[in-house]
Amino acid sequence: MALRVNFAHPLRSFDAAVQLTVGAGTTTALVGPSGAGKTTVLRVVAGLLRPRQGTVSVDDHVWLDTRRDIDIPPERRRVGYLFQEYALFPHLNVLDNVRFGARNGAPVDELLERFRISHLTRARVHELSGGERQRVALARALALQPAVLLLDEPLSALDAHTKATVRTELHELLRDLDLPTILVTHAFEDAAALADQVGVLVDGKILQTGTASELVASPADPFVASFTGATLLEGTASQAANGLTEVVLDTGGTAWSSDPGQGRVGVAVYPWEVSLSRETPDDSAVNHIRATISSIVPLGNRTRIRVGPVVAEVTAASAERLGLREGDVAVASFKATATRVISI
Amino acid sequence: MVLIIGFGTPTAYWVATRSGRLRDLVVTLIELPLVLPPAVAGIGLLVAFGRLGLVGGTFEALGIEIAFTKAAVVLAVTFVASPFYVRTAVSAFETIDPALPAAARTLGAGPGRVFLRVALPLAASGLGAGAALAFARGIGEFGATIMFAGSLQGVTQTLSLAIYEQFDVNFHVALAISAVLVLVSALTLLSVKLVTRWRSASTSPIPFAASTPRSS
Repeated sequence: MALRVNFAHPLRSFDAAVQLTVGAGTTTALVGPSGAGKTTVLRVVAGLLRPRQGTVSVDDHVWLDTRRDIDIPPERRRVGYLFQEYALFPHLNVLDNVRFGARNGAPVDELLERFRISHLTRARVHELSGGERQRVALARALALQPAVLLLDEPLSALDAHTKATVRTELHELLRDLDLPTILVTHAFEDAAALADQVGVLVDGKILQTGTASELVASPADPFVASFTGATLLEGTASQAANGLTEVVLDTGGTAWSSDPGQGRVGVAVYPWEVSLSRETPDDSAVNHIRATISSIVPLGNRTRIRVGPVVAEVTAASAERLGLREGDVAVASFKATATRVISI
Repeated sequence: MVLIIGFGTPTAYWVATRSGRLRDLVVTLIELPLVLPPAVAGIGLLVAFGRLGLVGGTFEALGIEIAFTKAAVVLAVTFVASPFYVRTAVSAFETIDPALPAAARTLGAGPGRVFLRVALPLAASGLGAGAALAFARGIGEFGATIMFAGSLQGVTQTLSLAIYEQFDVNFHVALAISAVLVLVSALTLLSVKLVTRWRSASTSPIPFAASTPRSS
């Protein structure tokens, strides 16, 4: 089974134009900022929105073809749609929610069992926790025995503690199901954890598609770079005699990169490639930025420290050893090979 | 009452799920009786359904007489009270999270089933409140009824009309009927309050729903 989507539709301030193929058992994540048109893609696949023009098909089943005036209504498309806030029916109990769309012979009991909600069948929706709600919504979507699975921000309504557990569960579920799945999220880490392919959607267009590590290794666009967590230093690039690219930064100073580049560029560097010290070290890193520490954020066993324009992520232990405090002056160092030059 | 709920509910659902010029036109038509002086409504109904009225002639040819009959009372009360029901019903349907009917559609429910199994139960208490308001307004209907149906004792005389008539004849009877109506109105209001409270206690919305920004 493969899902093929290709449509164009005007949105408020731009036209969405998306082309996407998702194979059976494959999860494609659509990531991007709010209002980029991510949910629009799901609505088109589900049949809740008829685009100005386009096609949607699953194998030989054509669900939408505006040119041939085919538009199968949502109730006949067999789409398992997990809504952003789960959209459980508040007037029905858990069992009736799960049974709402169940096909004849759907293994409702097995689903209740699998999602550990068998003991909650008589409970009302408002009595459930966020994680339970998510599992009920998944069970309800799968009772339909769908041909396609659509997940709209499946983790955003959960608190940080529940999120990690649910993410692991969801990952196992997606691996077991042999369905083409589209996952919409604004968090790159969720996409990286759950999806085989990640498409970065900005202003209604897919800027880049690849595996999460491909996007990190070679972001094609400043947005993709900052979205995957990189710091972007803007400046003007020119070819230097030593074979490296010299970028005169707008914030002052110079950055060196092994990537080629010319003219207005952004230098992308990931926080985990940046090391910190008190004084300029004498090591292989050619890039040193000496600046004031503006923020120190502990993240479990790591610490995120902003030095001037650069963000560094160091282990909590080394942050402690350096004894850095906000307002101190520190040197951020990174190798020329750790940078990516992106035209802007 | 049956007429109001029977026709009012689908109309309200239609209005609540549409947008555009046609919807605005329908809303205006629905709300017209609300701003119209009742006496004008009575005259209007008389001109339409009276013996010499626009469609009254047709009805009479079929042997149906409307003006100054019980049917006229029903028609007058329906005309004046229905906006109270329909307006409340529209807002009851509009407050339903649009994701719920959408979810029902993806779960295999056609538009009819969405209406019966999702929209109607979720709007039920709002519809109840609207019905109570319309009922209260209907009981007090005076102007349109007296113009269109008259005040024939035992035929078209409503309690409100009876109060007016007995006011001149026997003040105590008028007072007694008034007392009954005070009781009925108070009970109606009380039931609306109770239903509203029961609803907010039992189907309180999801605590953290809609707090996160929606992407589109």
